Amino acid sequence: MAANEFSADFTDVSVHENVPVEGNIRISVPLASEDEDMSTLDEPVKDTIMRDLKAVGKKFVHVLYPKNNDELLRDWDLWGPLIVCVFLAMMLQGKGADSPTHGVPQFAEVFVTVWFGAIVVTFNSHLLGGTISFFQSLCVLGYCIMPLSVSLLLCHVTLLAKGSLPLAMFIVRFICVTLAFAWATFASTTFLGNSQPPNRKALAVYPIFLFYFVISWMIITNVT
Amino acid sequence: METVDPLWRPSNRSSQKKKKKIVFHQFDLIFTFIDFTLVDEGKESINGRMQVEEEDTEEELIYDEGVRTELLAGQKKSSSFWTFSYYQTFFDVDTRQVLNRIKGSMIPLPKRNFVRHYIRNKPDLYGPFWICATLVFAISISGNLSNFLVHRGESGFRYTPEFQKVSIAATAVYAYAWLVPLALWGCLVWWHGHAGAPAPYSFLELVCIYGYCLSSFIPAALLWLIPLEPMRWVLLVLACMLSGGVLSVALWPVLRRYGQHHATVALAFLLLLHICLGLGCKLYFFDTPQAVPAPSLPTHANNDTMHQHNQ
Repeated sequence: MAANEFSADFTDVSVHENVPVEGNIRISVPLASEDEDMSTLDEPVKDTIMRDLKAVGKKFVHVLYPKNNDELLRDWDLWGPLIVCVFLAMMLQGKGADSPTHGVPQFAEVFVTVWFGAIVVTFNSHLLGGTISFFQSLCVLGYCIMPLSVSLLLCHVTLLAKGSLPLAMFIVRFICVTLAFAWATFASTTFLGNSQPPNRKALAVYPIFLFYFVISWMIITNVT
Repeated sequence: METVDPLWRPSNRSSQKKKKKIVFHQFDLIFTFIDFTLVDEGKESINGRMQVEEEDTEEELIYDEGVRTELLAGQKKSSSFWTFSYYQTFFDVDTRQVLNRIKGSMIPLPKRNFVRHYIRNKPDLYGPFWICATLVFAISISGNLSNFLVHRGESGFRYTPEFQKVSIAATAVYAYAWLVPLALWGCLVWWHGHAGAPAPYSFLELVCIYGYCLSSFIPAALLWLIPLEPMRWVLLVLACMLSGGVLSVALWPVLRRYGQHHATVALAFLLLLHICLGLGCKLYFFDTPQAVPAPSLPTHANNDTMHQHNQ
């Protein structure tokens, strides 16, 4: 039923007796929210994907220049961590039990290590009394692995130069991974650091340090 | 006329009213606490623990008021086992407390019972869990690196990260640090159950003892990187002695109650398990450096080794 606009001026209304007044007032409200939902349902798939990709990309940029802003925490998503983790696992995986690379972690091992490690670290900071929600801190930890993925790419590039100056190449890789590890730890403590009570900050930061250290170890020992 | 009762009884004079009495279970000068049960006919009895304070002028200890006069231990506020806030009570520690506890677990002193002195009825799960995690990775990474350093010059050696050993290390360390306290606690509950008293140490306190004791192995594991066999044995003995010492000082007063003979056997068995853990870690993860000839011969393995001699 069409809603009518209702306006009334009550200045010259007076009631002589205590007459109970009851009724309904209907006011028209712009139905903007329903329109928006309809419009995102109708938009082309490319727009949806591009919008999400832009959000993910913007968060990666935030990790590159970690300042203490809230955007990474407010609009959390787990796409970025998934992309990073799949990339890491694909690059680090070995080929099978009989191949020469039998000591290398398999895809599932890397995947589980990264996700299970992130979940345990998140639980830990939550149990210590952190004020961030579970998924927000999972999001931050996942996004901050990004510098380590970049260093993994660089390591692969140096490994392509097979045979020449192996020690120098190893030193280059080592410096790369160390820098990336420091960057990742610094970025995640920037985002997560203020959520802990100050007398427990070191207790919350140490597991994050251990988590990135293990990932750096996996990257630097990847020589195939 | 009422007869004077030799036992001290804070009861009402009227014989109509029900009588209360306090039964003391623990009265040992080595302990710093006294366990008792307040028996009130008609109501359920309350188990409690009175903490006896020590004078300690050497260092500043951290304790809170609620622990000192904990008469109604059985009525501590506790959330349900399935809620998150139940577990949050076990992470209620500060950085300084954790560091103090780690320090206390590395230095065995006969008068400082680790549980009474450092844990003080506030066991935490942070220390045991993360010390075990650190130990797992310290052993795996250090072992992998030291194997690389030992076998570097050999022909046919190909470096692998040996990632599968991480899960083996994790299983061994976590099983030791959590299942052995569980078994020990089960035994204590069973023995004490005969006397109708609560076990002297709760399960979490036992987990704390074992978890924090393992922290002595972490520097040892890192130093095992150096491929000198005599030094490794010295480090193993030192780590076992330190952590075994703290373990003994903490567990001996409890075990002693079951007779000298039984206590000795039990403590020896627990220490043997502890030594087995250290020995197993050293032997499995760290290859012994054999007396190889100096690796100056130009050996050429494959292109994929981490460190390659000049062609």
